[in-house]
Amino acid sequence: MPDIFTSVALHYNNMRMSRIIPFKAWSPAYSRVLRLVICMSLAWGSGAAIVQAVALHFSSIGENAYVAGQIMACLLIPIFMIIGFGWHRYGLLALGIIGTLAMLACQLG
Amino acid sequence: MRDTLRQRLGWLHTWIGFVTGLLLCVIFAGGTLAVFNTEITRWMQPENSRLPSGLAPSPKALEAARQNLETLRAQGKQPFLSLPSVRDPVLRVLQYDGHEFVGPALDPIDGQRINVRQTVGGQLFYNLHFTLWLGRDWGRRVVDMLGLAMLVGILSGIIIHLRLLLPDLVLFRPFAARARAWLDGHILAGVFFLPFIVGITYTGVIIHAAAVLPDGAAIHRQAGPMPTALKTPQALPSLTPMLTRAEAEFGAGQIGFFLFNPHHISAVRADGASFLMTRDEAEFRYEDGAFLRHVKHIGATTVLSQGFRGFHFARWTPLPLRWLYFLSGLGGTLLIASGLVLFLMRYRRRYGNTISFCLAESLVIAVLVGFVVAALGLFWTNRLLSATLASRVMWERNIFMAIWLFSLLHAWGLVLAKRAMSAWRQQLLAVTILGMGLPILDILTRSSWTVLLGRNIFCAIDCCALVVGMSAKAIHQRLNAPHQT
Repeated sequence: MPDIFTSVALHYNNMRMSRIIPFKAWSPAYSRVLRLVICMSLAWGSGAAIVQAVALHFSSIGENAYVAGQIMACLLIPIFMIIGFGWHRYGLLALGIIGTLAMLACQLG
Repeated sequence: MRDTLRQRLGWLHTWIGFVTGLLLCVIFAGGTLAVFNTEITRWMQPENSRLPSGLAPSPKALEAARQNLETLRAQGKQPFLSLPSVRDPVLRVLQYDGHEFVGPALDPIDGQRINVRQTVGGQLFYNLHFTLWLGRDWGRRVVDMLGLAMLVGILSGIIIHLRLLLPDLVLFRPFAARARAWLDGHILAGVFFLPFIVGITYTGVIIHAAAVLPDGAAIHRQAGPMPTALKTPQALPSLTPMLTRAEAEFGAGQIGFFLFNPHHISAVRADGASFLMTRDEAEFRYEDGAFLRHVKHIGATTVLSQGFRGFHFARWTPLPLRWLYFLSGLGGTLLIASGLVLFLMRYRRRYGNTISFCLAESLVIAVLVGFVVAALGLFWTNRLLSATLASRVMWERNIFMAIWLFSLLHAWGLVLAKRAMSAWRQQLLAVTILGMGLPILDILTRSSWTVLLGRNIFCAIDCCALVVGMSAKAIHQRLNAPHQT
C-alpha cells in the first residue's frame, strides 16, 4: 500500500498521462490554430487601442490623429502577430501586456 | 521537443500564405492590371482611338457636358465630370452604378457624344482589386484584413529566409527538380521585389485602414443640412469660367474632375498632377459659379497620407515607371502564385487523395489559370458582343464571372476524377488560344487598324496577350514533359 505522498504523486502522474498526452496529440495543428486566432484578436485589439490612444492624446489635430494612429497600427499589427505567434514562451503574454497598455492609454487620456 | 522559431513561423507562413494567398493573388493580379485601367478601357472602346491625347476641353464641349450633367441630375442621379487627360483624351460624365463608374464619353473639341460601346473596361479589375466585388464596405474590410495577413506572411517569410536572403537573390535553377525550381522562383521573386511588395501592401492597407480600425470621420466630419434649393437639382452654371478660374489656382491642365457636392461645386486637382495625391480643390457657388475658396489639404499627417496614396495609385507616373509598376505587380503575383503551387507540392504526397486537398487544388487552378482565362475572355467578349447591345456592361461582367466559375467547376471535376494535371493543361491551353488569338481578334474587329500600328495601347495590349499566351504554351509543354521530382 503506497503512502499518501506516493498516492498523490501517482494520481498526479495519471492526470498528466490522461490529460497532457492527448492534448499533445492534437497540439501541433489545433493549438497552433487556436494560438493564431488569439494572436490575431490580440494584435488587432492592440492596434485598434493604439489608434484610439493616438486620437485621444493628439485630439488637437482632429481627424489626422486617427490617420496617424492608423499608419502606426498597420505597421505594428503584423509585428505583434509575429511576436505573439513566434515567441513561444512569452509571446501571448507580451501581446497581452501591449494590449493592456494600449487600452490603458485610451482610458487615461 | 519544442518547435524552433523558424518552424513556428514556417507553419504560419505556409498556412496564412495559402488561406489568404488565394484571394491575395486575385487582388495582386487585379491591381497589376489596374495600373493600366484607363488604357484597358481605351482598348475596349476602339471607337475613340482616333482622338489625340492631351486636348483641353473646348467651351462648346464643356457646355455639352453641362447639359448631360443636368439631365442626369434631373433623373435623381449623382454624376461627376472627368476632364480629358493624357491617358484618357475624352470628357466623361460618370456615375456609380453600384459596381462601376459608367456614363457617356464626349469629344473634347465639339462635345458630341462619342459613339463608344459601353464597357466595364479596366474599372472591373480596379474594383476587383480593392473590393473583390463584395461591396464597398465589406470589400474594403476583407481586402484590408488580407493586406494585413500579407504583411504577416512577408514578415514571417523574411525571418525564415533571413540567413539566405542575399545568396538567394541570385539563385534560380529553373531546370532543377520542379519543387526546387518553384521554391527558387518564390524566393527570387520575394527577395527581388521585396521593397515594392512591402511598400505597395503597406500603403494599400493604410489607404483603407478606416475600414478595419477606428475612424475619426464620423466624429470630425459633420455634414450640415442640405440647402432646400439643392433637394431639387437646379441649373448648373457654365463650367468654362469655373475651369479657367480653377486653372488659375492650380495651373493649366491640372484639373482632374468636377464634383457636384450638396453645398458647392468642386474643381478637383488631377490625381496625376504630382506625386502627392492631394485632391486640393477650388470651390464654386451653385447659383452663379462664383469662386468661393481654394481648399488645400496641408499638415504633416495629411502630406504623409497623400504620399502613401500617390505611391499606391501611381497616377503621377510617366509611362516607363508605369511599366515598372506593372512588372513589379507581376512579380508580387508570381510570388503568391509560386507559394500556392509549393503548398500543393508539399502536401500532395500525403493528402493528395483527400477531398480538402482536391478542393485546394481546384481553387488554386481557378485562381492561377482560371483568372487569366476569364480576363482574356473578357477582352474577347468585349469585341464579340454587339457594340449596341443593351446592358452591355452587365453582360461583360456576367460573362467574366461565368468563365471564371466554369474554370473552377472544370478544375474541381477533373481533380476529383484524379486528373489534376489535365485540368492544368486544358486551362493553360485555353490561355494559349485566347492570348495568342487576341491580336488577330483585335485586327479583325477594329476598323482602320493599319493606321494605328506602332506604339499605342492596342499594340501594347495585343503584345502582352501574346506574351501571356506564349508563356502558357511554354508551361503547358513543361507539364507534358517527363515528370521530374
